[in-house]
Amino acid sequence: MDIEAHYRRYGPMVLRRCRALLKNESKAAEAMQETFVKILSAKSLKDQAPSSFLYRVATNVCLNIIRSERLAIFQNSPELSEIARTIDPTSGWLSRNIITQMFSRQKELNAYIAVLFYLDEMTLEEVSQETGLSVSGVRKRLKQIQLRATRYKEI
Amino acid sequence: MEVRKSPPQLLIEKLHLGELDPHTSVNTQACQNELETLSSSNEQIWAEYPPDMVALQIAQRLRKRRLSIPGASLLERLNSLRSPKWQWAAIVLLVCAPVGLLVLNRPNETDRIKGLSPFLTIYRKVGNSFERMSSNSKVAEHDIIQISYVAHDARFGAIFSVDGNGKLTLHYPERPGPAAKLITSGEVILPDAFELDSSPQFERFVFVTSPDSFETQSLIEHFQQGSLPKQYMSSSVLLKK
Repeated sequence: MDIEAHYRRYGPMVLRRCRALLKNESKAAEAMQETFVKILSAKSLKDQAPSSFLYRVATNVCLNIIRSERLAIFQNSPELSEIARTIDPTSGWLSRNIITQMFSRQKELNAYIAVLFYLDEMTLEEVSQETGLSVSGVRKRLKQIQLRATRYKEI
Repeated sequence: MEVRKSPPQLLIEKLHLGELDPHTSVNTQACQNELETLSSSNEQIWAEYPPDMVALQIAQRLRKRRLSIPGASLLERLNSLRSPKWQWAAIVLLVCAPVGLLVLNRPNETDRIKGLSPFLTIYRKVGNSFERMSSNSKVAEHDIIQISYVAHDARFGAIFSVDGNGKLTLHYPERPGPAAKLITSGEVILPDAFELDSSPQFERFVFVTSPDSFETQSLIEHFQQGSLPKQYMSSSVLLKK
């Protein structure tokens, strides 16, 4: 894989995404590189529309930074706060344990759905199209996230 | 229902890259300003984070990551970099892994002339490239600095800086302990650039070498006492603020 060519094509998009989520230039630059490293480590840059895949990985790398560094980025959204508090979307990336990978992928997908819906203000249909889930599937996962956020607020 | 002013950022990015799903309806006329903004943002990002440099940094991170995965073979690690250019870069990086350095110059007989003194060079990032700083050059807080050294025949060394507050920072090796084993061919660039802080007056960078191994802590103690034992050779660059 030609790293330089991929960075030239997709790096700016990934950096803008990281800047928007992390609100910090040095952390965003770090997250941008980490996004490419994760993709190359997993040998998984998909041929069709890599932009979707990179955007998703970048989002989850940023969520992981927000969670691990306890950054107060999502104070105004209980759902995103819940996601940032609990999910480590990247923990299973390099795992060779298939169960760990599957579990991690599910959590990662929920986190991504929450960010697309609550932060990026995409419609249910757009989130559905982006994630490959049905609209009802997206709605169901969002309800689960809302429920968890409500419970967390009550604790 | 609230009407959105423009499509979500992801859709605009995909439209800009020509990767928008044909079934997705986006008013491209309405996005014209956003598309132009993305084009100029791309230019700025490439200038600020040059593709060749970022690719190199990503390759270095990848190397460290792969080396940390149990069971990953050398061949498997190299195969992940399909471009011959990056395979060669990876080979160089893996060879240099014990000291965490990247050798930019291939071995060259003219670099092996005996009797020449080791020296360090300081570069400052200016836009898209690095400029070489001579001693007494002016620098400022937030300048991005890159250090390199030429060891000639010196086998062990350490690089540190002292700032206007008297604070001493070890740059190479990265952690206190045994001195770094130096690479004796060509100019060797340390793996990470760094940003100058707000310390006043000056930054002096010192490269100390020795034919024998030594502990960085004892070197620092000698330096603070103002006397280096005879086996050490030193060179320095003073940057003024």
